[in-house]
Amino acid sequence: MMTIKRLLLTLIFIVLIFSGSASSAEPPLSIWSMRSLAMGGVGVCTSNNHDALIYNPACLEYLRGMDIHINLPLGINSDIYNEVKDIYDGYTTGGAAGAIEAGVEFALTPEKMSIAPRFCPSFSTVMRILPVNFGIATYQGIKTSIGKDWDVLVPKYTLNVTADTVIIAGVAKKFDVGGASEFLYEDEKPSSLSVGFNYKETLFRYRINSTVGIDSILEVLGEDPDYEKIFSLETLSGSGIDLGLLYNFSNETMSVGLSVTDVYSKFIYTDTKETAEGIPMGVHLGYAFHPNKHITLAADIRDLISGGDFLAKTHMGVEFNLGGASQIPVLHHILSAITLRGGLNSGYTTFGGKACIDLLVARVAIEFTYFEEEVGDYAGNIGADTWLVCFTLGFF
Amino acid sequence: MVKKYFIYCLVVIFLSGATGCNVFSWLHTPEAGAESYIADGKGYLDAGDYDSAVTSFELAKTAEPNNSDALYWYAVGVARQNGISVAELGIDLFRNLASGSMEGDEILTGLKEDKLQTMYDAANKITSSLREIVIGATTSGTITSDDVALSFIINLTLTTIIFLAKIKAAFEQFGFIIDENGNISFENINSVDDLKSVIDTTLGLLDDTNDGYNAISGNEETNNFQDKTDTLYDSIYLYAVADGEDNDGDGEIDEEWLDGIDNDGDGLIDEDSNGLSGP
Repeated sequence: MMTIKRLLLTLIFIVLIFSGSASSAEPPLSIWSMRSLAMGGVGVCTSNNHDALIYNPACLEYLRGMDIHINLPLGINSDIYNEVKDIYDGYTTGGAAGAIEAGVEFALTPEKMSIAPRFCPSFSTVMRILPVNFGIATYQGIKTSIGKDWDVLVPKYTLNVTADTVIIAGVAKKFDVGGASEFLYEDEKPSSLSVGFNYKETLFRYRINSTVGIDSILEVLGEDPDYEKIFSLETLSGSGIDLGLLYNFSNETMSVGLSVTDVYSKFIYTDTKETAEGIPMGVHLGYAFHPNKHITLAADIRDLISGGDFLAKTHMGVEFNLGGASQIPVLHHILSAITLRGGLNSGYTTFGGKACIDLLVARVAIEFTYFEEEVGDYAGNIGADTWLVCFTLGFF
Repeated sequence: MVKKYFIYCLVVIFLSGATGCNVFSWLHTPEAGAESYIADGKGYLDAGDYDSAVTSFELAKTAEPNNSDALYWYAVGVARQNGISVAELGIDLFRNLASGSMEGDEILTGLKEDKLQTMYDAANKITSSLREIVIGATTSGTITSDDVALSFIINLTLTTIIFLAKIKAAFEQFGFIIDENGNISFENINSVDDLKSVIDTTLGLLDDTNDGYNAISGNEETNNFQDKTDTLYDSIYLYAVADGEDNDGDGEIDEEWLDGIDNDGDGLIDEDSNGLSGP
């Protein structure tokens, strides 16, 4: 018990020391998980695969055996669908001229519009190396946004590209801390505390931010264009450390967790080798309830110590494996391959699903996720939605 | 037991999906500051509720009259509320050119006459708002003069186009017709009083309270504008109306037609007119 207390005190001490540096405006890395997004953004207590490396390294303790995953998630947002539909409708009603008219309207109307594809392929492996669980993953997070922003009369075009290549290595160790009562049943698991640690090496970190209006177009067409006035490009590399705690109540029906991401981070500009601003530390709290092995209910409060609207930091999610819907063996086996997810991400609806099939030593899974996130100042201000589909190949 | 939780899950998913909006929206109470009202306004813009957006931006302006962000977003809101954009003109122009109904300088025909007054009022509001930023009268906010200079100039151009379209519409109201070839003809103006009525009404329609011109040039120049319109009035009277007087002092009365031709062969064109069309 002394060890656990010491760990807790150390973690709190580190959080207090570094909390003063958590005011940076630099956004975090652009890596994310299909499962978490479908479940409203929860992950501190519910990450039961390599996602633990993103959300809470202590969750690595959930993992059993060796697990290798290749993820290929791809996302688009509904603005793409709407604009393609408008142009198609213009074509069906007015032919080529109708399609061009719809295209001209899209190009010239100063409405906010965003075509925002996302791509986050990852390769990960998790295994138990005595006496700890060990995980390592490489993530390519690419998030782009090409669109228009609100302007008075003339559209202002924006280009934002965020790309990260990150290698994360994490370890987790579980400590049994006794039962909720002294009279545990024979098959009852005692309460436990898991402690996790991540080291992140960010190989590349690109940030392209550009706003192009008529004035910048004129600048480009001029004799001596100043591209730096139009395109802002940052190339960085660096490293960071995450810490995590996960307390499982007896029988693992309930858990609470604390994750401190980027408790330390350091970045340098690749071209000038000058020190850049680090990623702000994030403190995330989580709670999960598992009434049985088929259902997970969870809630997170993310970025607890940063400013901003509290409700925008709240995340709630539920996951249900359909295997729990039937006791008939054959049906149960078939339905177990399907999982449904839903949640509220800063108050916005999210949902998704997963279907998988086992092939000898491999598991092939298809996942889809719809989620909406807050891009304004408070929960319910301005939502931005994304549809994601992911192909996963897992080996076990 | 499992079924019960399954039903719970479905209810949660169904309810969250059925809301179609943010479940926390109703909990938001805006603070009485420009920043908060601007955030609200942006949310309304995003939802396509332009009336509410303008109301929020007006509250932001009231809270901080010298905040450039409040003035800028108010201009954005008014533009969207009234459908004022380069796209409006561009698409109409494209449509008319594609259909072959527009040639050359007939861009004004692309503007919808029933919207002219609304567009004109809105364009003046935008000008008033952006002007404060352009001239550096704001003391807070992130939007700078450089950010809005182009929009300001384009808006002035747009205002002028709407202004000209309004003139055309007002004249046509009284039978002053400009056909597709640019020829001008009267139908309902048969006397000096008719013409005075047209001019007075037209000037009234152009700028009822001089607010548009005030916004562009400042209050001190309003009188100059009035002087210019008086000169215009005199010019029209001299050249377009058969007044029974020798306006050019050559001993002849109303000897010309306003048709671009030297009808009396004295080397001067349209110098003392008998009207807009010849016999």
